[in-house]
Amino acid sequence: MSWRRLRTLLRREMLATYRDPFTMTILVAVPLVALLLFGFVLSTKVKHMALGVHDASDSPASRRLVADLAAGGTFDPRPFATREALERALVSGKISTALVIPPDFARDFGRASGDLAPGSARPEVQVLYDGGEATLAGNAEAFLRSLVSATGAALVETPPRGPKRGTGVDVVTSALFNPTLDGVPFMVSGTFGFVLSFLTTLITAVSIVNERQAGTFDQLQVTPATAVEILLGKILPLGAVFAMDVVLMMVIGGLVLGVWPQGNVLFFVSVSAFYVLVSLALGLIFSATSATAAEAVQKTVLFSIPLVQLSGFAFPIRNMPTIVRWLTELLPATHYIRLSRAIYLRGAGPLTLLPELGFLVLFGVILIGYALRTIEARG
Amino acid sequence: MSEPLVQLRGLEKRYGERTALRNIDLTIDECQIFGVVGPDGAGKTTLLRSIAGLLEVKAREARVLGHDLTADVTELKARVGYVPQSFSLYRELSVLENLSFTARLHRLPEAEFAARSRELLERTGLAPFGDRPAGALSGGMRQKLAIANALLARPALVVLDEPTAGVDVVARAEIWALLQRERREALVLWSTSYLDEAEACDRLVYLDNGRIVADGTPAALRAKVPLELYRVWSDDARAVARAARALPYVQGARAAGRFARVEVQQARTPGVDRVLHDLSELPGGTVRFAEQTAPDMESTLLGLAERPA
Amino acid sequence: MIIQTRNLTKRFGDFTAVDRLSIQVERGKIFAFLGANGSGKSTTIRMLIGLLRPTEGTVEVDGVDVIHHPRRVRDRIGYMGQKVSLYQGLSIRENAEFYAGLYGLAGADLERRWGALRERFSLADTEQEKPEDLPAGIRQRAGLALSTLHAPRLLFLDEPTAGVDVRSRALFWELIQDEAAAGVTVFVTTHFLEETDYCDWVCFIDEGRLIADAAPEELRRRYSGGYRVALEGAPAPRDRIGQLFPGGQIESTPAGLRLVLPTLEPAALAALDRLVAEQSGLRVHIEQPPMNEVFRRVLGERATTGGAA
Repeated sequence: MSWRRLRTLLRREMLATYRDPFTMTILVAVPLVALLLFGFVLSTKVKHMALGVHDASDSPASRRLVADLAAGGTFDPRPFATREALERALVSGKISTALVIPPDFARDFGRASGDLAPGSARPEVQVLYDGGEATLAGNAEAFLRSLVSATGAALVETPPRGPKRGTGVDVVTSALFNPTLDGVPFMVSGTFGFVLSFLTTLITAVSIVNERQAGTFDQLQVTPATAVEILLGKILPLGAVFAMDVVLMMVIGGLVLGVWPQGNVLFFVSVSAFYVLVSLALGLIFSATSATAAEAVQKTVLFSIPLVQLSGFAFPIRNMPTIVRWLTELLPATHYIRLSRAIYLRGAGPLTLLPELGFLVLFGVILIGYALRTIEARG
Repeated sequence: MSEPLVQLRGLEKRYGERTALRNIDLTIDECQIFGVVGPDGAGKTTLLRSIAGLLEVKAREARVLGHDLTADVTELKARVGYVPQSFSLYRELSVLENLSFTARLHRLPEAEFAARSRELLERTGLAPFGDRPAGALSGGMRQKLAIANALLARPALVVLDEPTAGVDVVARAEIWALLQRERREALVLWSTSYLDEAEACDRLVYLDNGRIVADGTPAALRAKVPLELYRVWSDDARAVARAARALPYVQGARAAGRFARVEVQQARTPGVDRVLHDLSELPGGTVRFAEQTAPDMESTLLGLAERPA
Repeated sequence: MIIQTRNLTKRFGDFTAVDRLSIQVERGKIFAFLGANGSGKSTTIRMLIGLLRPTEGTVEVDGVDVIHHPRRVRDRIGYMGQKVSLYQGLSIRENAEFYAGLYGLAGADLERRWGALRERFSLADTEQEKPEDLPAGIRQRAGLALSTLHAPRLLFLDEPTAGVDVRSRALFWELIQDEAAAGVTVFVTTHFLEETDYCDWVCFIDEGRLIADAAPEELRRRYSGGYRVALEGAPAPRDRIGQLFPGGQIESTPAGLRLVLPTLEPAALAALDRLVAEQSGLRVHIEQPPMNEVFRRVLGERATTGGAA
């Protein structure tokens, strides 16, 4: 490989890209807009959810429970006189979550607080929710559950009656790393994956197709430049822009949305940079099979939509059927999103993430190898 | 006195900031083969499309076949047959299906369509290919189909944008014959980059940078051009051409077959005799025979291109 | 022979773009590869420079097997594709620096070489412009200049004069003829038949098949009515003419005599010179049979015999 030729190729690519105001705007504006969009607007944070409450018990204990639920600001309890009214409201969509407190709640409580022998029925409440809004509902349910349990435990503790009888080991679920199950960090960390997959692939695909159409790609192939030089000359400058995007998104994510990476910043940027190169190579492959820029865009979009669904960006993979879960393992995006979440949300380090890193490197090598072949291809 | 077929005064067409056509004055009185020539990007396509009623234009006056171009052009379009630069019929439909589609658009009665399509298919030599999908035809045949399609409804104005570009020699001649037939009944307006076709038009207009630079019959244009044309016949015409370029008054010289074609600007010529003498004395080849010839279409267009816009 | 192909074939599915093409190109000659759009010209040129892999056959360029070792010729060939490959957003000068960098041309060498090219190709005042702001003719010229930047021994030009104005076309051919004079072999594809006269050898391809493979003069000898020499203005004795031009036919015309010669050899030119010297007042005018007539006959014959010329 000739460094002089590579320098020549890099210089041209940089001049052309950085001089194009349209491309530069897209490369910088889209990641930021995506970040803010997903972080602010689309976050699955549970807040001020309308909670229908049918309190059949109407006792101090039940009123205390409802008051506690209202206190956090997460739920807006709305009273319903009858169960039927509650269910009607659920069906009509006026509320998406409901709490039914049975008439014998206080009595059960009383029993639980001491009079009952161990093993008897514990106080129960019924939680109804609209399963349609699965993510939201899932979060809401989990949150509710933990709140109720916490409240219940507090209620059990309060009455100053003799030594507390063991009511059994109460498992209070509490979410680690995201106590309020706030969706924003989840989305922010996932946004990196989305932007760095979609936008990178799109930009390279369109760029190469345009070159092919303009005839400059042919011209390049006739010069002494090798496929490796052409590949690097194309993706390094773009990679640099995206690496800058990563840093920019991190800073904006922190300043505006309050989400800073928990793990090592350098590690995160390096992993992201490598993933960018992999995505760019994928874009190259799309471009080799497309005759027009429109076609390249179509292919990228069609590929990216399942990517969003399957990579764990918005929907948890564990909820998917087994065969689909195996499919998601084949997407480099899935591994990167896992990595980025692990580093961003849980502060994981390179040693813990070795298997995922290995996958990413493997995919990278395969895709880059294939991209080289498409550059050398001679119809 | 009947109205001219095309009457344009001060026609202008802009695309945003770019002015494609400016100050176009054009009057065409009778049916003929009218050619539009000029370099790429001069505005030929824009002018043709404007006259065909496909573009919105501004003008002091713009009338085609009696219709105002700046008003509703629906009626005009029904009387125009237009053949664009790139093939615009349906490749999956057969020759007959394409023609039938156009016939229906023009609401041609069945009997008339049958007769007219038969006649056109005969004249274009496409009769044996009636059922073949248009995409499977060769380039030349596709162009002939496009022309047949445009002629189907007997238009009073036929507009063709470089119909012979890149087409094989035989088909080009056939297309030319087709258009020759049409000019008896319709105004044929077309653009071409082939010099021999420009030469054969009844009248030409030379566009450069959106403006009409010259307008007249080929002979009239040739007479106006300030170039003298010489031929030096030799067995090594290329060497002669190279040597000729060194002469101070020679604008351009290149070998074409057995002769070196030498262009001399009228403003700088030392006179025919002197030029002939100089040319026969040039180095190159074993013998040289110089003669002056009348300017041809190439030198005409060259001469016109030199003029400032 | 700097280029040799044997049974070169390219199929795309069941469509044969190039069918068993066997051609040879001599060093230092201008070789015209002629044909209509879709005839297989561009496919052939792409195979010759190693951009496309043939389905069958062999290609040898400057002694290199292009099919298996395409990279070995790359520093020796220059290429200009149908779409002139100048990068938008970069000035002509920056484009030159880019391509020069890929060929290892830099610093003082580049300055010298580019300076000379800039001069010859009249690009001095447009050097800082970007290609998208320049008309097609200048872009084409810049493209040609860049393809010769690294002083290749072999130039491949794919339809270099398509869509270009007359002046640029003329300049182009002068430049190409100059290159050939300097020893560069030029392989040109075109669909303008008259441009074959600028070349040393012609290959005419139709639907992927070779139907003519000869020097232009040879094709004229075989497929035209011959050179027509008009002798007017003074009576010229028939026997004298018969003496001077043994191969020719003499006909009477209203204005004098017409001499028809199958080719125009140096001997014939010398004889004309002598005739004019002998007969004062005699005006001589030579007509060279145009190539499109020649090719129409070539195609016509092929239609009847189905063979190659």
